[in-house]
Amino acid sequence: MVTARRTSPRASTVRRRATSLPSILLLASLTLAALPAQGQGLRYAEDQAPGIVNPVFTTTMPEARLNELVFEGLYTDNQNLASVPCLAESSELSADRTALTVKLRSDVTWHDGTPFTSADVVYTIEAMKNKGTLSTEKGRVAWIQKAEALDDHTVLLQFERAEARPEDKLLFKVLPAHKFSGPAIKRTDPFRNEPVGTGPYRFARYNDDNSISLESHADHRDAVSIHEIVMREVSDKNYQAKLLLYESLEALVRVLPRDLAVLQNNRKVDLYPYQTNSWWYLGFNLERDPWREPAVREAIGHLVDVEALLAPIGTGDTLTGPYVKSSPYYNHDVPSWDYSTSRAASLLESAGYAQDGGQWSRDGEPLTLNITAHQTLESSQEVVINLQSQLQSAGFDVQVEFLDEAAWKARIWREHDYDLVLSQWTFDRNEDIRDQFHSEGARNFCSYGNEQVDELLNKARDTTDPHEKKAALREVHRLVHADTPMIFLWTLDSYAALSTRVGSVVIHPFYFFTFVHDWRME
Amino acid sequence: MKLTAWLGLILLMIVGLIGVVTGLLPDGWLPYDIVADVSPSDAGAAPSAAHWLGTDHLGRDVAWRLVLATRAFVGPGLLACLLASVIGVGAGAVSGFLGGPIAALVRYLSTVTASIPRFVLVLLAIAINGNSTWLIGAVAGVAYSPAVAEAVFSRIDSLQRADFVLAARAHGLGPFRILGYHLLWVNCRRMVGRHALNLFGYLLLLETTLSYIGGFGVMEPQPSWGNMLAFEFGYRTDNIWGVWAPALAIWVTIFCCGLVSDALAERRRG
Amino acid sequence: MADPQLRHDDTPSSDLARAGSWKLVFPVLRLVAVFMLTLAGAVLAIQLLLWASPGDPVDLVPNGEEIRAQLEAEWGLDRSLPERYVQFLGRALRGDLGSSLTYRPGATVTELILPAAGRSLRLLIPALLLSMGLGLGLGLLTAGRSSVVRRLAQVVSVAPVFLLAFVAVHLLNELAFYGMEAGWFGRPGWFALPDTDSAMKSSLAILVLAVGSGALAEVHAAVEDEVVRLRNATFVDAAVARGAPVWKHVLWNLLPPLATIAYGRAAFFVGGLVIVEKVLHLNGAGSMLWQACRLRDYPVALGITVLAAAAVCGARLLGDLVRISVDPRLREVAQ
Repeated sequence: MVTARRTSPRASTVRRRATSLPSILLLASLTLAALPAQGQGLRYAEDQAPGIVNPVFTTTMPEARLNELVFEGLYTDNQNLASVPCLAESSELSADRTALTVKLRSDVTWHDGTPFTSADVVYTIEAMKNKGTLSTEKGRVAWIQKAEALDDHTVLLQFERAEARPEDKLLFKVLPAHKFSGPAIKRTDPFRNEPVGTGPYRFARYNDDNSISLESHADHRDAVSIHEIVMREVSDKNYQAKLLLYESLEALVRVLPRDLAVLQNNRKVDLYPYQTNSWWYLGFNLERDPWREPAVREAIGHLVDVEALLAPIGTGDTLTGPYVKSSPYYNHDVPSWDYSTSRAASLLESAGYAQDGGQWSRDGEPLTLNITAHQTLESSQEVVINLQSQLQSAGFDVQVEFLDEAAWKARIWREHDYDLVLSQWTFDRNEDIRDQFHSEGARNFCSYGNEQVDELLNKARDTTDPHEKKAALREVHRLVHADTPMIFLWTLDSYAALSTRVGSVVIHPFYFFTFVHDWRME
Repeated sequence: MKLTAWLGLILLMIVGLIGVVTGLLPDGWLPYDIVADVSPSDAGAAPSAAHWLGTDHLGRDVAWRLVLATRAFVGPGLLACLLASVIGVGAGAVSGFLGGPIAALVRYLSTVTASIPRFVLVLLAIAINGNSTWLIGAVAGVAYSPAVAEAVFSRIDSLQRADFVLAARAHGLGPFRILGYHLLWVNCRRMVGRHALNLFGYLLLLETTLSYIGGFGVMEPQPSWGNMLAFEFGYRTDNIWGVWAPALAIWVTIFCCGLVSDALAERRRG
Repeated sequence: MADPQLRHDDTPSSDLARAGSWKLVFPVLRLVAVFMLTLAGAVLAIQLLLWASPGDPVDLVPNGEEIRAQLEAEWGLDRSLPERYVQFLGRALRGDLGSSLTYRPGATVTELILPAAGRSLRLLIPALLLSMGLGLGLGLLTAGRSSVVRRLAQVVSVAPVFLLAFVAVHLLNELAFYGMEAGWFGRPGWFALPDTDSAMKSSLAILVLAVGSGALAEVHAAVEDEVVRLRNATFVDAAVARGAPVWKHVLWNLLPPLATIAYGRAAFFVGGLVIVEKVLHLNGAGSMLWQACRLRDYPVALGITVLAAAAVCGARLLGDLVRISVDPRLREVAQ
């Protein structure tokens, strides 16, 4: 058989061309260099881009933070986190505290030039309450029975029941009536492509790379020093701190504990600690055996070494109740469950369990535990693995499960199919835990019910005396701790990181950008 | 086979053996407890006598986890290869040998499965139950079967009219024997073997990628090379082996799959 | 790790030959019909999978349980699956793929996925061409002989895509940062990966996609097989004996198998796109699919998967068309 001749010279040219092209491409792109990448803008990173820029449909924290820049409410927070007028100028509470007359500012214009009037306030409230809107923020105006425009700059609000401090609840954002056609607001309305607000920044555009550009609103009454703000989506948390170090970003809303050391030592980055009202907990499913029994729950409380769980993931305060340590409602007299195997053993024995070769069981059935955690909760994996190890060595059979957000919500909130759940509650400065601990609370998925607690929560809601409220809620803390529907874990110290080029920074612990007027950037 | 191919085969067999043995042994028999090994005080320790490859950032022994991680993909990998081979060979043989409307239907189903990119199919399937590597293995096997089916089909189709088949028919050999032995075993086995090795490597890659990107695949605290990699990424510890040990393990295993697959390749002459 | 099924056989065995007609019209129409049917099948499969997953978009709305009934009505989730399937097909034929539920609430699916698909195609097509080019080049280089080059290509190619991307990004970033700090050059426009979109990032994405997860190794092996087979073919011997240029014949005969290899790779790349886009933060159809699945945004996920299936089927169609146009034997009746 004749073997084919060696490849002709043309083959080598084909070969060379095939392999040289990509190298030329690479070299060209490498040398496509020296273009200044920094403008005058502030770029900050979020884990997930806002889906829609409309405060009526806010679902995630990134959306809430962006809305803080683009929209404003009747009242806002000052640096001491007390309510001060924003779009409102002043307000007068009626004698029976069931109505509020709000005088609006007359120097406010929407981003498209239209003047701001009371019609906008009335429209916003009506639309949020409207059944057709399907707003996620309905709860924020549910307490308002009726809103009426008395004139172009005066609104009368009538409440469902007497309110002590309605200004604290008037923080919701106002929308322009003239941009909507009907009484209900729909997600599909054209407003989603051209959102218009009264805030210091106006929506410029959605960019191709899923980032959002905002530009300063020229006619805003408070001049801002930073002309452009860009929200970038950096979904991979491993990169967020790196990008800040490389000066591709100017701000990180929340620094991961593992990146703290590196950022602390860097002279181009400033760390700003802030106190979020969020705490971690380990919730029991009170609809299930044996978690129905308080003795068993308390026993687990004595077997969980909370400090050891916290240490590998960061720093913070361990808690004994449903408030942060600096909260006025925190009851410092309540001691934490001490880590004590003997106390736990006696509790379990009183519930009928016996330790058989290291394993706790009752009537031949070993005590099994299923811990469910939420994948997106940062460091929850470490905590759960550590917890599993602790509880396994204490003599329980522990399984763990990590679910993504939608599956988790369906399993825990809807189906109540879990034993223990590791999660976190976040509250705004009102710290209203009613939804979580009242027997009729919308977020009380662990089915906790204690009549005394219900009474106290109602009292706290209805009273106008702050001392009475404090006493009631501190008692709630004590009762909830004793009942142990959940083991309260800790609040993590939160830090934001900003480039040193940004100065005079004050951060709002919940909305981040509330005080952006003061920020200066070189 | 050449030396490199033999080395590759031996390595693969070692990995496979470890995977099968550790998978079948009940948990208590191993001198290592996955759950109890957590010791945050030892986090990120460099290799030492106690920990041959050091520890990860929760203080767990990397070497042991590396070894135990084999059981996470060997089983599902074998399942995937089995499914792909059985479905693929079955579909290919039926449509190649029989023809007619059955063949058309089988080919239609095969085309539909092939038109959804494999990764996307696995992604959608595990949205149902992300915790199960067996499910990933099964779906990957099913998603890969059209490739095997196509290969078997075109091979059988082209051999239908070959002389030896006519001769076999003339001798009165039954269709099952012709199909089973002459066509499938003699002519297709190397090809199916290459596909199986290909798929095995692909499954390992898939599990790794899913663990890194989305936290799917093998769930903690069970180790898998993919989730070990994902767990340590982004943590600055003194122990580089936390990240590099699983990465190298993955790299080497898939490379060996390729070596053996190459050795099985047929070089057609004339 | 080649795909032996991509071998071009001497005996025509494709659907086209069985059509039994030299006219191109019938075969092409048949192909288009198969295309549509395949898409319909793919849509059903995807609908079933999405529907079976735990959790739905209503769970992700903060007050979802309160307004569940209304949300389900508005989002069309309260109807049975067969109804939704038929309705989806009907609307899709008119070009209406619905609106996004949770990913970009209110935006129409077409306005989201078409630009994203465009961005992805700008990665996919160059990656495919690069993969074919590199594979062709390497295959011609190393065909028939054992070679260090082949092993090297295999070693690099076998690495998972995300690992290659991560290592490349890390190296490039560190090098550039070092250079910047040392004052050698100003800040490159593409710095820092993977933050801003740039030619560098896209080139890296294309390179990694073309090479990683065994892509390059497979094309290389397939091309090698073909070249060896062709070199040993009798018509090549005849050409050599006559003193005619071998290359023209070899390359022309390589086209049909290359077309088949290409459409096989296309399916693989479409899957690989999801990974590359996620790791390099490119906002294309792949990362959008990922987000949509995570957020249980059924219309967007369905839209993108259908588009992906259409792309793969389209590639196959194109491949078959190239084959029949290049190889006249495939147009003839098979005996």
